[in-house]
Formats: sequence, C-alpha cells, structure tokens
Amino acid sequence: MSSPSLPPWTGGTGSVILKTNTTTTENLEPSGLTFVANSGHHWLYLASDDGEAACLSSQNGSS
Amino acid sequence: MQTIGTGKDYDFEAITTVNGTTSVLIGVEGAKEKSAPYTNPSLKEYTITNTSSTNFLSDSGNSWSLGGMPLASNAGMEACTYVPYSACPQTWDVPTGHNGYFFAATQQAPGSIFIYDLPAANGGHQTVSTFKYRLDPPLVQAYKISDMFYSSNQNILYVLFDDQSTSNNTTTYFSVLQGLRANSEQFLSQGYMQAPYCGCEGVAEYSGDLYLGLDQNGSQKSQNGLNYNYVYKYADFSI
Repeated sequence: MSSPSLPPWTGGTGSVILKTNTTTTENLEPSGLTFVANSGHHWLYLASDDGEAACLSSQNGSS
Repeated sequence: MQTIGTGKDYDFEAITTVNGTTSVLIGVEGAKEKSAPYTNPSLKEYTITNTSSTNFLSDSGNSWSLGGMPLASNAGMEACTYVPYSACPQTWDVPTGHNGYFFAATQQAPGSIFIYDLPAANGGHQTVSTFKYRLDPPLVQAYKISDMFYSSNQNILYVLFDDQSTSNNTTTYFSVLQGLRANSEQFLSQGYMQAPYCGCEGVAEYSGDLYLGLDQNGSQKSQNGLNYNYVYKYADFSI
C-alpha cells in the first residue's frame, strides 16, 4: 500500500480528558468509546482490550 | 475503572449502548486461536448499576456470538455500534429483536461493515449465524476499521480507521475519521479527514463534541511523540 493522501484534520486542537498514567487508569488502552445516559447525566464509557471498562465524566475526566 | 475479566475471552474492542436502556454491550474480538476454526466475536451485555461506583457494570447474563465475519488468528471484531432503525435506509427490513441494527467490523475485512439483526435477550447466550447486510462503499478506502459510533443528534455514523502504509521500507501509521449518513436507499459519505494522531481506536460524540481514544503501540507512540494513551475531546466538531 502506498502512503495515503488524505484531507487534513479540521477539528481543531483537542483537550486531554484522560491520560492513562494515573493510579486508576494505569492499564487502560482505549479500544472503544460510547456515551451512556443515566440518572440525568451523560457519561463517556470506555472499553480496554485488557478486559477493563471505565466510566468517565465528560466534564472533568474523572473515572 | 472496573476490571471485568482477563485473557482473550475479555479482549474488549468495542462498546455500545441501546438508546433509552441501561444496557451496555461490550464487543469481544474473538479469533483467539492460532488457526481455524476461530471463536466468533461476541457481544456481552452489562447493566449499569451505579456510575459513581468503581463497579458500575454488572453482567446481565445475555450475550450474542456474531457469525459470518471473516476472521484470522488475532484478527477478529474491532468495532461495533448500535444504529437505530430510523437512521438506516428505508429499504432495509424492520429489525426483529431490537429497534435497530448492530454494525460490526473485523480486521480481516478492511473497509467493510457487517450489519447484524440481534434477537431479543433471553437471559443466556445466543448465536447469530451470519450478518443481514454488508456495507462496503462508500467508505474512504479499504482501511482497517477500529471503532464506530452513531451520533443521534447529528445523525452521523462516525467510522474510525486505524491502519499503516509502507513505502521504501518505511512504515507510516495513520488514522482516518469518516462520517456516513443514510438516505432512503444507502449510506453516503458526508466527508472524511486524517485524524490528528495515529493509533486512534475509539470514537464517540456528545452535544457536538467529538472524543477520540488512543491505543498506541510502541511505533505509534514514537510517531505521535506521546508516551501514554489518551482520550481527547474536540469541541464543536462537524465533518
């Protein structure tokens, strides 16, 4: 396969809501994301290919 | 964070939810054997118990194995998302077990989406012998799909690709994001662009903000210049 020619990213500069080198997220390798509505709030759910799942606030990145 | 299991039977590669329910479906890659026959990918259902607890999911006992997708050793399902029937082409049949279809992709069929009509939960494990529809065009290229997410407020199916190319013995890693939307007969591309990082394996959208999750191998970390894995938020995103 040759090197692809793709339109550049136009989504702006992102902000980090999760970095995995904390005690609670040491082993997380994000392999899937989804949003879940529960108790009047929306939560970002994350699956990891090491058999973990995480539940994150979309506002502050807490797990 | 909750550790649900260990080993290849818990090789989680996808996560999705059915609108208006407390069920979360986690996709297991399957194809854990070194040679055929391979274990089918599967979806395990969990119920939300308490978002403020470290044990926020409980096993519902429901699961579905997904047959029909091409597999190879350690090359099974990488992506799965629920798409409501109202967002699918009007020519498609009414799904039987849910009010929508489950869109899945495997590393062994780059650029293809396999669409499943899952039977309703029965409290145990069910086998779905094959997919109902297969979507090839209009995806950007036959790149490997790493995640998908249907945004109900944008009516966009986001398809995330994570792949590599080699030229003059140099390997370049890249990720691509594409948006699809159904008309009355088929899904059509709404645009695509190269993601800001390679190694992107998770995508979701909420309230106009896009989220990308990175699962980098060593070479991808070197190319990105990032030492850890991250989830990034991109505000007011459109494609």
